[in-house]
Amino acid sequence: MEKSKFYLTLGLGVLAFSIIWIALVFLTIEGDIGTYANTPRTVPFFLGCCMAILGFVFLYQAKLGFRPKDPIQAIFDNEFKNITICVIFLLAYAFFLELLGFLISTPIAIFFLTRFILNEKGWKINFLFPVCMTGTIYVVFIILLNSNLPKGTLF
Amino acid sequence: MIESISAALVLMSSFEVMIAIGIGSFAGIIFGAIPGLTYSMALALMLPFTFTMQPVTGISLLLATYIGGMTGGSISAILIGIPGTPSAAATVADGYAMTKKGEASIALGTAVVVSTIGGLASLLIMVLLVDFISTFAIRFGPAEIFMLVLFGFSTICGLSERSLFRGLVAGVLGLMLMTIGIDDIEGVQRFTFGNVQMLQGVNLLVAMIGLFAVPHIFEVFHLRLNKEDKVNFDIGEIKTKLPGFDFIKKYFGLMLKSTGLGVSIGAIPGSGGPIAAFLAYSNAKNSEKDPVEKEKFGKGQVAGIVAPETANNAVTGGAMVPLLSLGIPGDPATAIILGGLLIHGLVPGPMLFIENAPQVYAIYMAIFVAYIAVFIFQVNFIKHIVKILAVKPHHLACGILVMVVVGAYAIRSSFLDVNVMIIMGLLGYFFNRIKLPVTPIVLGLVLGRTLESEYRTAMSLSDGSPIIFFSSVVSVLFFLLIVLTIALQIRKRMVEIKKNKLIKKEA
Repeated sequence: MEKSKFYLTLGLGVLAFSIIWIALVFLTIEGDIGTYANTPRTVPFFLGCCMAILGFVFLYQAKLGFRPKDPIQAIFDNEFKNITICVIFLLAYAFFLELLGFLISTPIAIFFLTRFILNEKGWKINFLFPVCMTGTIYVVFIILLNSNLPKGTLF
Repeated sequence: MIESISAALVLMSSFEVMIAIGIGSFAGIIFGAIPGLTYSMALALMLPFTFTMQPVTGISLLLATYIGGMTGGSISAILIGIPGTPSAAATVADGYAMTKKGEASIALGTAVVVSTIGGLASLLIMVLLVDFISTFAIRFGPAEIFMLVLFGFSTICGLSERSLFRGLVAGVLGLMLMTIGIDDIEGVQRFTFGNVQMLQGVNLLVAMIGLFAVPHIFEVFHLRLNKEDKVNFDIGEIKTKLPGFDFIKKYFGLMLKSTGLGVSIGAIPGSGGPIAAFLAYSNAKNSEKDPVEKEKFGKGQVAGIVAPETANNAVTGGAMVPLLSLGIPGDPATAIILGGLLIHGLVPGPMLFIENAPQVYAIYMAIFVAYIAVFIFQVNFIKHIVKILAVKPHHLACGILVMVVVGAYAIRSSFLDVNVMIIMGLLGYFFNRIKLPVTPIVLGLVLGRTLESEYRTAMSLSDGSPIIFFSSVVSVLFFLLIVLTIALQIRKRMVEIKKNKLIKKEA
């Protein structure tokens, strides 16, 4: 993203978001803005308007030639790929957590993460680390602090 | 009062509370000491696990984490010249200079002692101020509370980051997210799209975990996968050398001034530790009359550690004043603590002292014990604590990843919460990339409900007349403060632009 286009992009993005939001206020929330400006629609509608005003402020700043103080870096292709891998891993871990519970899914997930995603080769990191991590969390939260950890549907 | 204090002592004396303070202090020091991790992240990770704890145990865990984090930031600032927290940035100049001269133990000892003194002194001031403000605030009606919350909100959006408008975008987005779910007053569904799980809206804890912890995981894993790992630091053997009584006598005046500064700045929503620390540092430097001593600032002057470390720890007491007496959090950390209080049914504000007096006194005691615990940890276990600086960032991120997924899932045993956490994490990561602040989103989520309910109650009372918001001196005063905050921010930006133009012209 070029420096000079930052406020233009931000302004257009904020404005588009506010228009969608205001449309949703009228399409999905029952009731009216009301005589007393005091209905479930009032605050969301007002917030949508505030967002639109901020969008116009950014567009005005773009017109004046404002530039952000710190340079904004573009999101690279491999960054998108790497973050997608992280998201898939988070979802998979949550799925197995629901299925197998904390004690079984956590060491397996950390092993998979360190060995195949983070590409660690040492046995300490691949085997000892997942077991120690799971054990530490279990001892701290279940034994010492009497808190809860997820139980699976199968175990 | 005596009854409440003895009840608080009973609450505090349980084994679980002491363990919670110990774990919180230690975790806070670790998260504070490691550059890249923040104590806000530690608090967000701890928060879901407090859900099933007793209120005092859960709040003690959070407070100890906050205090440990604020103090722990000085460790990396002194030893490697990188502040673990923004609040410790002012300590770097003299702290790291002392390390280079081979005086790291003295610098660490000084930081530990003055942090504890600053924190405990601010606790004393906090106890007095909270009581005083609460007595005054009990007379506030819905219009005054609305204006007060709006003032706190505008200050935080304006002061928390460099740009007021970017802060406001994030704040308004937080308020928008808060409106998702069932409307509290009329029970109408808003933005649920017929999904039953959406009726409860965006869970505050899930949003906090997503915004504060998940972006860090994305960043570290992305760097690792790109083979651009951040460096880890091997410090070696280190000890904490405590200063003697003469030291306290010599710097007593400076500590007193820095405490006053820290408490005052901490009490202003949106300012916080970094501002207090830098102001205290420059105050200490400017008030030094001896030119030889003044020259030593930045080159290993002990006063250069005393002033910022006392001030940034005194901020903790100051930030708790608006939080406990008015329900306004001063920074991200106190916003998370506010979330913790609300989970346990402790609604901050004047009524807190009437309805939950023993719990409030227990909170005061927890802060006191936490400072002692942090002191003990930093004096006795520093050589073990610094070893964590040598752990690779992606190994730490594995632990954080487990905590975020387990934390988000455990709140309601809901897969939807994990999805929401990931969405909030992506939002936080994207906001970090385009330099938009995430703190106002959390504040919007935390303060949004109060803002809407007080607005609508006030409008109902006045039959729809907005004049009610200007019908008392207090609400007019808060309104003027809101206008002043925004005007000052705009003026500051205009001055900066003019300056830049002048520099360009001259160049």
